[in-house]
Amino acid sequence: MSHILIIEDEPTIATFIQEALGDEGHTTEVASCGADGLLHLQAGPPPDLVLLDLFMPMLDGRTVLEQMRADPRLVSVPVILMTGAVPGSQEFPNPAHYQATLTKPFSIDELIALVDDCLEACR
Amino acid sequence: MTVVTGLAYLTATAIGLLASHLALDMGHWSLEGQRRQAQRAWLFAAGATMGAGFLAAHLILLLYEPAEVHRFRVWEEMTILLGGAAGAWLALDLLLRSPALARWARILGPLWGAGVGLVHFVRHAAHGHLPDSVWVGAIVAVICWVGGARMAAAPDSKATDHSRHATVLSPLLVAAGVVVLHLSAVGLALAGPDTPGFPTTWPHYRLRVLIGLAMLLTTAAAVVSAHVAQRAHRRMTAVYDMMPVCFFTMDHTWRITYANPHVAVLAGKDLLGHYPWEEFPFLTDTPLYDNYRIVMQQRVPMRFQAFLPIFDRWVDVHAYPTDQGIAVFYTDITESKQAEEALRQSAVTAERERLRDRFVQLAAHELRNPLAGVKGILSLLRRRLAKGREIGDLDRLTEAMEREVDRLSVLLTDVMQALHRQSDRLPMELETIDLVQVVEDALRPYQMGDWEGHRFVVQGLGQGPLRVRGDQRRLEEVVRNLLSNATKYSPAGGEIRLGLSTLGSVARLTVTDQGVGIPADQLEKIFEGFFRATNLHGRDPGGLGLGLYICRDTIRRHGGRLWAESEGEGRGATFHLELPLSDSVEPPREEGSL
Repeated sequence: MSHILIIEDEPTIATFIQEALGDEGHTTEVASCGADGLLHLQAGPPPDLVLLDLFMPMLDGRTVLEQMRADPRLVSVPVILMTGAVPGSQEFPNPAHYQATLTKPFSIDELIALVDDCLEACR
Repeated sequence: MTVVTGLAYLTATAIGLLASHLALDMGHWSLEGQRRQAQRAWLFAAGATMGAGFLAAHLILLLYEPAEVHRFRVWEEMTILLGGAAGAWLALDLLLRSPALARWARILGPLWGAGVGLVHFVRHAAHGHLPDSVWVGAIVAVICWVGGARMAAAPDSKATDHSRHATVLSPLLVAAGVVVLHLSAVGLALAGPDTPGFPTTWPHYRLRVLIGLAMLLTTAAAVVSAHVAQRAHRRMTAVYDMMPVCFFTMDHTWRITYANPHVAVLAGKDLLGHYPWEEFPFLTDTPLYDNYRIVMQQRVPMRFQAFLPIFDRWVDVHAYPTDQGIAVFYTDITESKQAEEALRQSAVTAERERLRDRFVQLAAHELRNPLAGVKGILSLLRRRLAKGREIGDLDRLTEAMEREVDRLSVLLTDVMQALHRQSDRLPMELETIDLVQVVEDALRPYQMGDWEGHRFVVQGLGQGPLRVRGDQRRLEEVVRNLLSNATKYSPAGGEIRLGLSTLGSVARLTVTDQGVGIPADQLEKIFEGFFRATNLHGRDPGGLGLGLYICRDTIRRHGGRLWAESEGEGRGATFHLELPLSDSVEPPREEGSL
């Protein structure tokens, strides 16, 4: 059982991810924007995994990721990016900073498999 | 009395000298530095001398020595007088360069020549002096001079071969006439009073020698001055010829009085003495015509750029007023214009590509998000069913899916509308409708529920109908879009003001919010497709940024305007919508009713 932070501005997507991860026995927290996500990260103990939406208004996923990697407390927290963009486009962050990507739309099976792989690899 | 007559001739000669000096001076300072101009200056001098001399001499004779006249009929003398006046007039005309005077001088010149010749011939025939070769010489001289003067004064108005011949011939004719006349006068004087045909009642022959010499001297002085002037002009034009730009001058009649070789290269022919508006009638449709007129009439310099369609060239023109008319410099800027155009085209292409990229990026995000929601929930349900788990709050999950599907549908409608608009195929039904009604209908859903605590304050609904020609449904969409934007970009509880008013022949709707405002550099961009203001806080309001693009397009098709104002970030925004009132303005073309 792990603690996972979901940073996603789309409530529907955040909801189903939360429910699916809950089904797998994980505990979750949801942040509705980049700034909110950073607050969550800085306030409590670091989560075991972060699911991060790349395209958000104001503070986007890329910036959140950069700030995480600059923070010694958060530098090793694994991150799965969620995006509708195509990998390789300019907007994409440094590949060394995240563990995997989930391209929208994705199924719960893909999500769970990726989350499990990630947690396993980082254990 | 002999002294008086002599003084008269001397005065006349002095006046002639002065006139010739003025004429030459003018020729010297004008930019019309061509050979022809020097020749004309020479002609002015001769004309001025002769005309003024004859006029003054005969006037003085009439006033002080009527005995000299009594032998002739008064009309004969009057003919000579009129001739003298015409000659003086011609000289004056050449000095003043007035086209109107020149026309009269051209008519009176030959009349004078014919009159003088005829009168002298008849007079001396009647008194038995006809065999006198001197008088025949005088008559020939006068006719030659008048003929030459006439040819020189007439030709340039028409750029024909005739004018070219006249230009060469007229000074020769005049020179021949003047020389013959003066020689005959000198010869007569030297021969003495015993010579048959010598008019014994005339002033003493020695005085006539002086007068003849003075007139010869005048002519010689004129020739020398003309030569000097010609050289000065040649020097000046040599400089203009060498300049790396096109340069030409025109006089007040639009005749080209000088043009350097670059002008001929561009025009394809020598334009000297021609009229540009006659040579190239299409020029009257270019800015050249209007601008040259301004320079000529208002005496102000101008700089402008113009395209000359027949030459397929762009020119950068500097035009200055001169005392003669107008002087023009221009440079061929076709190549830099083409480079500029290519740059502009590439900017347009780049802008198009930028818009397309923005669309792809936004569409990827906006269209995938609702899909991701639906797919996620469906796969969650399938997984729970497969594993025999509890489904959970099915209502909430299905409602979320429905919402996402609705969102997708709205996005697709927007995209379809935008594509249709770009190809101008969107159907629109224009009829006379009431804008007040449109606003009331658009407001209804907002007034029913609690819209995140937004308060709507409406002014001007009760003023009676505002009739406009439009498509009720589309205008309602526009108003609803403005209201939705106002709520989207305002904090909860904010006030949204609507105002309806008339302004002359237009109806105006304003929607003012107290929201995040719009940065000044984005006030126009928000009406582009696929653009959303960048100063959004909190949750992304979503969408493809097509709303205002579609709104403006709709209003444009109604013949109206839609624009935004904002005092800056955080200070709210006001959208103004104007539509022509239907009884004041015809609806726009039928593009909307296809």
